Amino acid sequence: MKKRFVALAMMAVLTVGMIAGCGNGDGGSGDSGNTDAGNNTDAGSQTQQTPEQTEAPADNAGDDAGDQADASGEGTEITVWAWDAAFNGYALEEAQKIYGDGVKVNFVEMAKADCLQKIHTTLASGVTDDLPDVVLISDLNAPGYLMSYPGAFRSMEDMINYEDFASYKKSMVSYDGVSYGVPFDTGVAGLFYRTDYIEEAGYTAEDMQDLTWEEYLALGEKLKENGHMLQTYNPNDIAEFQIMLQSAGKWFTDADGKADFVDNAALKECYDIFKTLNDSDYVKVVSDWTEFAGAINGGDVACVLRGSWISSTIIQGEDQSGKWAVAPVPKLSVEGATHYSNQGGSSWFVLANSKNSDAAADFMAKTFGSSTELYNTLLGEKNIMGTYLPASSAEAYSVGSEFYGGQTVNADLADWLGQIPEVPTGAFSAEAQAALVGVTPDILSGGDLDAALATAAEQFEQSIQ
Amino acid sequence: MSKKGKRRFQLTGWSMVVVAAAFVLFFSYVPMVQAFFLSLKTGKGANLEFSGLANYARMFQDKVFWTTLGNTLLYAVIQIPVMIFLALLIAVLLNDPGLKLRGIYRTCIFLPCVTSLVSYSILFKNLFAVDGLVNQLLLKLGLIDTAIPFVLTDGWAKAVVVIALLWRHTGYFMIFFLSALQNIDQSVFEAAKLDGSNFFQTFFRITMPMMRPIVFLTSVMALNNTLQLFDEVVNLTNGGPGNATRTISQYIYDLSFTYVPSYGYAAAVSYVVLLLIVLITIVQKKVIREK
Amino acid sequence: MKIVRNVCKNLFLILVSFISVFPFYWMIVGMTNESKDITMGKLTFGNAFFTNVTNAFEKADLWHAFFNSAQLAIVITFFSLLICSVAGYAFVVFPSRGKEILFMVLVASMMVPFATKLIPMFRMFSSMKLLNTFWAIILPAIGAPFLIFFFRQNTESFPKETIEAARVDGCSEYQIFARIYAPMMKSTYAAAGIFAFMASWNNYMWPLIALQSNSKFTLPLAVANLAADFNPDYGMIMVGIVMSTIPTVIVFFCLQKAFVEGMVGSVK
Repeated sequence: MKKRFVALAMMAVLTVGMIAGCGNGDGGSGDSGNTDAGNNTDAGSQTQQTPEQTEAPADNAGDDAGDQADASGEGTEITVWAWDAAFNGYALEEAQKIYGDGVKVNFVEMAKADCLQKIHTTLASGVTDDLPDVVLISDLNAPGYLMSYPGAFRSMEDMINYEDFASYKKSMVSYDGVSYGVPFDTGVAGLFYRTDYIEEAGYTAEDMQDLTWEEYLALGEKLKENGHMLQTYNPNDIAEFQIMLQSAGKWFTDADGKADFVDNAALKECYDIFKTLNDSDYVKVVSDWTEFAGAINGGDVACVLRGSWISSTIIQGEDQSGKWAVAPVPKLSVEGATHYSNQGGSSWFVLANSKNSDAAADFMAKTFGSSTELYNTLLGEKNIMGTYLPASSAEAYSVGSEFYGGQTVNADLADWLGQIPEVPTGAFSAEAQAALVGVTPDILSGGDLDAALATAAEQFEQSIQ
Repeated sequence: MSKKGKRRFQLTGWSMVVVAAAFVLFFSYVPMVQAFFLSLKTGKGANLEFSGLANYARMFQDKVFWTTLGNTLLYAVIQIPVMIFLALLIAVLLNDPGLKLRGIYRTCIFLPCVTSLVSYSILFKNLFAVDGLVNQLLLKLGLIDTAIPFVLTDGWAKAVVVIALLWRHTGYFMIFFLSALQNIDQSVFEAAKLDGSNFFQTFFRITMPMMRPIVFLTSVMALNNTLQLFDEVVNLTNGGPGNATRTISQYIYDLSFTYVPSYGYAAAVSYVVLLLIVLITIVQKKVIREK
Repeated sequence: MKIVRNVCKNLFLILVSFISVFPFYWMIVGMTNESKDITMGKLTFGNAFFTNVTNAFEKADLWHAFFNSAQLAIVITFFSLLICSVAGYAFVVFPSRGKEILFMVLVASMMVPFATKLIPMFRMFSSMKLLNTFWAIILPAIGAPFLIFFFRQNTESFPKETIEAARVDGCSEYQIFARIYAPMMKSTYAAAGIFAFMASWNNYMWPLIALQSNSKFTLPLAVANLAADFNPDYGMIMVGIVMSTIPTVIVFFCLQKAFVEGMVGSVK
């Protein structure tokens, strides 16, 4: 009994020591990046001590020495919150190489939803002490952030030339006529398809270039005869609507941000197609991403309609190399319909009130805002495609892809990129989709489309107040 | 006890609760009070303005609020009684000193609540996928003709969520009972045995009444867990099909972080949930105590 | 008759155990398989274990995150148990109307969805200059209403005579708590220890918001990062998951003995 008590007490003392160590250690190491070995008792973090770690704790210690160290040291540290180290983290690393030693990028990695949530919490709290310098925000969410936190983001209009970027992208990083974000990756949409499967069904690559949705669905019937599925289908996911709507220059909402459901011919056609897929026997029903990716890599489906980022999933099926190609997306029958669209993509936003906002803005402008070299590297090394138009003449674009049977995929995508209709997505895309998902089961089970859309519009108006 | 003695007695008592109370009041109530003031404001993001009870009135018009609240209460009504009964039953069985291998059983049954959400949601989705194990089994047994798209059909999707909750939390709640059973004097059970009571008689006449405080605790905890249910649903069905499995907590999260944030409205919904839990808890207390 | 009953009992427990262990087994198996096999639902051991481990540790500094989590869990468990058990005890042994109300007030605080407290809490810790320190995680976790509740409910079955007897013997109230109550309630402490440890170990949302540099991240955050890639490598993720699961299992295993021992020195 006694022994155990002693052990417990020792543990307590030890842990208190550890905690104290953490607290003091931060302050100590925050003073300067070079002498951090001094009083840091937190062995774990000591092995981790790199200059990147020293800034935020310096704030906490309330010690100005940290700032001075930054100014006189090897470069201002800019903190960036983003997701996906292999993609966005890599891009930051390359940008750092191009910019040189003037700044030191501290990339804080989080899962995407976590990152977006953390940005909300931080900005909503109204604090200015603990802000990152740059955050990554997905394009569909960006207007919402710009609307929610006036003055929080820095306009980059005087630092980068927005005319150099794909026009659809510019409107996604702007709010109330002012452009804020530094446009980054594109989600230019493509119809990725299995060349071997469609040949079996009697189609050629030529046939795929100018498909209407009707023709595309007819392809499904043919594929089925040969035992293949056309594409995946998830009744609970209307992400493909984004592609269809934008290809026709339409969106879930109108230019004033009001619900555009009931009188939206494009949206109605989306639902007609969705219902056809629902009732058909040539789709592979999936309920989540894992099954979706499995259906692609497992050779179950002939076609995938997604933003260009889906390529990284497709090429994981190494045994299918040479059997894929990509065509422009099928065209809706409504007025203004095109073969070009977008799904996804993100942009960088510099915070106006962060500690090193100026340095961060300069860094972003000189790299992601204007460096052909950067985009060439990103595309050549990791297939990351930006929306910076001057870069499309870079050599990486003209290289044929072995996986896609020699097709110059990047050049094609870049060509479509410039033709994507610009749509005012507004701030409420998530609300609109949620309202539609809520009534989708009714529509699929044969309910009246107009009535369902009216219900959804009502819910949407309710949710944006 | 003298008046002075009584006062000293009470002061000692207060001195024991004051530290814990201070921690809770400061770190929980200060944010809670701020959240309450927030619930009186409307607007998006940081553009807030005071508007009285407008957010509370808004709930009446909000169909999604009612749907998600209904779903959540449905989960509570189905899952909590089943889970508490199962957990109690297992705990009593495992409390029998004559049972062999009980250490192993105990550990096994505890395991689900430590299994990471990510891994078990992949597994559950796998099991209940259209061509998953459960469908294959049912097809083989001839119980169904075509595969059931479990997570894509309203009723089935709800059932999958409840099964997942039962699986994950029963072992956790078993520990409450198991540890509480140790505080009951074993001689009571022996006396009952001598009187010739069988297992079920002992269970209902002796174990249950003596466990009342813990049954109350677990029912409050379980209710609280269910009304704050979030991760399971997000990972298993993401609220679908439509809004069929969406919970109120998921809605609060969406209002704050997925949509253009309506922090005031989200806070108002939270306060209604709080009020609801408190009301149900008071009822629970009456029911469990006055039996 | 007795044999039949025993067989039934054991069959029931074996069934429940099997259902319970199956996903855990699957998780261990997953650690040795390639991502593709995991999503296909492969149930047998594979040979990708070392690749997965290498990948996981290359991608995230799991040891460091593990160490962060362990520090936090130990400190939080120790202090919350200490403070909450005293309070739970006092609510029963020194009953009064005021305390009853206070108790209800404390318990009510755990019923507010956490997402709602997030922004005020962030503001609070920012103004205290404690963001991105472990204090931000520890301080709000110490006063755990749930543990107070748990100790209070368990204290209700504690024999009052024992306390009276100790008072007659001249023990002070604090002595009674420390020398008589605490040792007798070993099983309650053991269970509460598991709950507190698990709560701290699995805590996700608040550390995510309050901690701002990767080097401060806890294990669940690091594992979430493993899973955050566009094309998740589930084999690698499983390694992280198993690593974040094992400590809880060990804690449970060590403390579970206290369940069977019952009340130490119980009044006969």
